Amino acid sequence: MAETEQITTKEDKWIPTQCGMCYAACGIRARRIDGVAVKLEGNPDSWMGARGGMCGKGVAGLQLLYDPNRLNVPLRRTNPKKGIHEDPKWKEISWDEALDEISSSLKRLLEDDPRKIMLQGTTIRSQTNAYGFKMPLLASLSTEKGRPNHWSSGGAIHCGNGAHLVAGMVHASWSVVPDFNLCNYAIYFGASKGHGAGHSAAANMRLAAEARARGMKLVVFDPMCNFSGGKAREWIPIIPGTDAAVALAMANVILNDLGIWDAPFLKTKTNGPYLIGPDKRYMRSKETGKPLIWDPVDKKSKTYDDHEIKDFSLEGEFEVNGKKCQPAFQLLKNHLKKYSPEMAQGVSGVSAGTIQRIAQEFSEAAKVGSTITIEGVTLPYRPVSAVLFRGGEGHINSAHTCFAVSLLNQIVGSGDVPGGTLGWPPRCLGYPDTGRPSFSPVQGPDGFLSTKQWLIAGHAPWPIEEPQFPKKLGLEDLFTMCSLSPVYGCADQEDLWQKFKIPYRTEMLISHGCNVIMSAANPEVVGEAFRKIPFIVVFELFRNEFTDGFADIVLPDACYLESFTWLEGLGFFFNYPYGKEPWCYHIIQPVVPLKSKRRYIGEVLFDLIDRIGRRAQLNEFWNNFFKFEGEYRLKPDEKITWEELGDKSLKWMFGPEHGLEWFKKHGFMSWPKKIEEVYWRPYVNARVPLYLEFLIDLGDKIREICEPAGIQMNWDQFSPLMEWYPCSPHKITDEYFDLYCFSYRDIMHTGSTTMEIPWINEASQMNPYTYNVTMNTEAGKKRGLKDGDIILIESVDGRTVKGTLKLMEGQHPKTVAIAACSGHWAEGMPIAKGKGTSFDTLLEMDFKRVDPISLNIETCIKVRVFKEGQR
Amino acid sequence: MTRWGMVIDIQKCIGCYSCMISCKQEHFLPPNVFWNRIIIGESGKYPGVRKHIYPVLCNHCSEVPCVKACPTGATQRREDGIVFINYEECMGCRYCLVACPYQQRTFYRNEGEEYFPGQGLTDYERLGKRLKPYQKGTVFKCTFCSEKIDQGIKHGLKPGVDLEATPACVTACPAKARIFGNLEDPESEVSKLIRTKKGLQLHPEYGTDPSVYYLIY
Repeated sequence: MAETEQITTKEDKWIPTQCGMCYAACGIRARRIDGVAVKLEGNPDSWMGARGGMCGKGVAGLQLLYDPNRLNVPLRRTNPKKGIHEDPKWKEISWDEALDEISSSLKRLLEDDPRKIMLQGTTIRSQTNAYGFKMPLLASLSTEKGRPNHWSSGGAIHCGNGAHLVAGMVHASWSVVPDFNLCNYAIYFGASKGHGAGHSAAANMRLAAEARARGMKLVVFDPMCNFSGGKAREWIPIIPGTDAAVALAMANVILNDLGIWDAPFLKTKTNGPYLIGPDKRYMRSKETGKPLIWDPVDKKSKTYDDHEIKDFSLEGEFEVNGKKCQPAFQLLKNHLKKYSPEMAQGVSGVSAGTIQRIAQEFSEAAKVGSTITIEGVTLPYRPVSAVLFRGGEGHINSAHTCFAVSLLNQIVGSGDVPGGTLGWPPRCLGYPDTGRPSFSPVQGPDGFLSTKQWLIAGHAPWPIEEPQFPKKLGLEDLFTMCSLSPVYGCADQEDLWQKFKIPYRTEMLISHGCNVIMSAANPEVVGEAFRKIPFIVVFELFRNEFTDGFADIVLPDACYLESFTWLEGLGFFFNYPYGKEPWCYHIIQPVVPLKSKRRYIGEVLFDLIDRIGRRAQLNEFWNNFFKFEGEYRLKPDEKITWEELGDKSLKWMFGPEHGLEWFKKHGFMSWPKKIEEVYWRPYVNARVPLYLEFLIDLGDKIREICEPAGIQMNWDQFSPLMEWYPCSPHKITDEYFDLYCFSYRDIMHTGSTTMEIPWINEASQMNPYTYNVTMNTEAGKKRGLKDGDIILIESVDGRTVKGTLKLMEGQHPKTVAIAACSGHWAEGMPIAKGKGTSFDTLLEMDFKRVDPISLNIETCIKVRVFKEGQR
Repeated sequence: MTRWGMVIDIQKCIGCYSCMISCKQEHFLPPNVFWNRIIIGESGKYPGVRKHIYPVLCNHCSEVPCVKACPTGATQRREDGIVFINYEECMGCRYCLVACPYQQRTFYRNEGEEYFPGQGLTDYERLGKRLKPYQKGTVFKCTFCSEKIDQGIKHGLKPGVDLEATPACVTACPAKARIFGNLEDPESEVSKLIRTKKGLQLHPEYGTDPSVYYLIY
């Protein structure tokens, strides 16, 4: 029998760390043999991931480390011309020279007006971006005049403005997912949780697979039968942007035909019982201003939080202070009648019969009224979940669409209870020895759920900030339900800024990752916006379309396998183990030392902030962020290093024996969750909105500021009742453009850098769809097209891209699909170059094509397809 | 007695390519060589469509066509069922390549070696040349990670249970769709799954009796 030989090595060590290929930051371990990283595996002991497994994209990260095209030294542009195909004529400079120039520019702008500084950070490294880059810089670069503006390229504006807003308001969390362990029936609208990247990518893959094997029924509404559609028990094709019509029709069937709803949940956990007056607003107590409800036992109105409420009316008509009023639930129920299954069929293509059947299956599977006992605690048991994400929310009807899908959970009471729809955990009572970190959602104004933790130094979802006459270039201070604003890349930005008389422009941009030319919208449109910025500094891994076209200084960043950060562990409500899985706080540590002159951004920023003399502001930020006390508290001028701060923060959170050295050895800290952290809904006395009353005043205020400035938006969308609004592509009447073109997340790709990785490239070439443009088989044949044809895709706005066609039965006949962030042309990424088709080239970005509530952009365009040479 | 075998749960698999890439990474395989592959297709007509994802690899058959075809005896089957190639004895005639009905063997040409063409070998690739000196002009294929199994057993570990002693493609799967163990032990997880969920072999009509079973339910 052949024995396998063992070759001797000097060193063979496993190092625990976290993945950095997407923002899930799953716990991994890396094997290093004789100083070379050779293998990546899931950390088998951690719950933040797949317990030893990891996704293919993550495994391939090793080639990110060793790619010879990686930036190694700081570079300075010597060709002053900027544009999407310009040759920058890079010259190597020293770090000192680079940081001198950057800090003197920062000093000047701090003195002048810090709003002229802009930050942009990649969502791939969301925690580093938020806590290690944006927040400390925003705090350190803040004066009475204001502070820098910021965005994240395609992040949020494509994929999250609506979704995160609603998840925040309804679940106090960044995003939502079925409670896979207990759920029996889940519906996805344009989502791939458990079948692609995303928050808790690998953990979701593990949990969703178990649920599938156990028999959980997954219904997927999606124009494509690919990632989640391909694993669904039932794939239902749907026209992009019509999800709200289907969800509202389902809600109509459930409430009005089947008469199913969770009355106790609606009464105590939503604004269903709040009385609505003739002006569509809440009836409020004259004394306290609080919203009123009707107590049918005492036959009178009371404030929603009165201590002596005997019951809440959800239906009926009442008179309070001489005014007729109805509970919001009654209004909603009546309103939904117009969303008949037939109406939704006309809009979405989903048959009325299917809509009725799914609604019935969902509401019956919800087992309204049932309970389950977990760890001795009896809780509501609602084993159903309706979840929507990137595909469903990427349209100008984003906010309403997200609310409409969340409504399905609220009706049957499945929000944040066993088996239902969970957010990533927003409630933590702390590591047992220290009680830190500790946070919980609370009751906010008007009784609504208010989260105490939020990711971006932007808007917490509730309470909504007062709209102001905008001073921010992104208009976020006017559109106060917007997380990240598309204005930074919009074609009509200058027109908006003129109309709002914004007195400054961006003079300096600091970017961490973020290839805006590939990941925001049409490269020419976005390029024009960024060409105007006189000084651009980019921390990057590669020379790419953005650096080469537009950067003045490029700094060689460390990738996740070469860097230390304790911040990727901070994402509780973002990517932490959810449901009953234990808390796991990880760190990222270097698997190999930094090569050449690469430096990690977290450490560089400390250097920069010292050079501009803002150490006191930086230290104050960290003191406030962690709420350090006693000897932990940083003195204003204390020149603590990045690593020292990491050690201190870890000890603060987990005790003096659990600093950096402990974490380097063990990789992560874990402790079990308490039931009141897992299923916190019954423990937190707060409500969520079924009736979007806050939109009325918000819309009026925004309109009052916009109209005099000459800005018109679709004010109708500020309506308190959930609606389906047609999107820009639905309104195209020219039948010449007869297909809906959309982009989708491929399981192998996140952001635009994955295209550069050879192993991922091999998988993408093996996959029949990833690099190709796909269409429905019949639809293709009708147009005389076949597999392998080179086709041109022309948008209604006159943009054209080219691609190779692959026909699929599993695609809606009225659609064309393009995967990921493809179509690179940069010399600095030779593996990525020329792969796939650029969807973003077809994507316009202007203020006419945004959701007026969340400022999510429209990501679907009407197109026509031709065979090349046959226009 | 031991016969190593693998069960692949098609219901759980999501086609993330982790098995394919982890295998390449574990074995320092060159560009465009795959010991694990994913085959993706669909069946049915719109809208009644099913997507199919099949991870495939060497089946380590017991009725071994490749062994029968090998003129030098370089390809053999171990007592524990693993079909291996002795590179010293392989002369690269490629009869086995033709004989394998599952097309799971690859001829190593040692051309186009660089993952970053024209840019030399990375540190990882250079170390790979030292640790896994594949020989140009021979055939190679999946080994069921026999080196891990053998070393694992030497150190008292259980293949299929202990990660260090288990094939890389099995440990890599985030959906836990791959299970490894002893087909001759009726109480092993693989045996139980094949019994209770009706594990199927690929192309049973070839008469090869693979060690790899698929669960389709």
